[in-house]
Amino acid sequence: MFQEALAEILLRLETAQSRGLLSRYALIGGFAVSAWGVPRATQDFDFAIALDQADPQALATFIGGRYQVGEPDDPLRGVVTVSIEVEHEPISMQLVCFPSPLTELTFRHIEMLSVLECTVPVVPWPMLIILKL
Amino acid sequence: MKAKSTAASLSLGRNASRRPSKLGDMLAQKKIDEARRLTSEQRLLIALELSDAAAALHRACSKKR
Repeated sequence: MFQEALAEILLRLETAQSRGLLSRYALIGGFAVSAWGVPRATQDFDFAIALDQADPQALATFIGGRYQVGEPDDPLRGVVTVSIEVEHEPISMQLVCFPSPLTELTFRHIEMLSVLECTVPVVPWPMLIILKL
Repeated sequence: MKAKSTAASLSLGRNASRRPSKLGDMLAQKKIDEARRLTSEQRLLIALELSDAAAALHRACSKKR
């Protein structure tokens, strides 16, 4: 189920990227922690996204999710939340948008992992610690 | 009273109020060593499989409630 969901998510993100709806994306959260540490079960997918000049609302509409803007004092610029149905079960995904300096740092040393015939960009572990994600 | 102390001695947790367990530390270290032997790709794949298993267990238990 999660394997199918990952393939579907990557397809949506790749398509969104090719249409200019987002600049970059990379895995964070539980699955990224598992890639660098001890594997464990988790409930959803989290991705960091860089939008550059793209409109987050347009991305949310294309992905089939909802965009929420962070408050002025929130360390997150905004989050797109999406529910993807796989085998009649909903799997949630969050696309997290950080402020510009943190986004630049997040995407500086992305590692590409090949899993299940997919290429997954993953945020390296020191950055996961900095992001506390 | 005896049951309580047995439970405490068997505990694997790292809670400060609990007695440290050498056996617990050894098991945790073994887990870390095993993970170190894998590639990042293998660990991600295992996490996807574990999440599938956890979701299946959750669904099965939810139906029983």
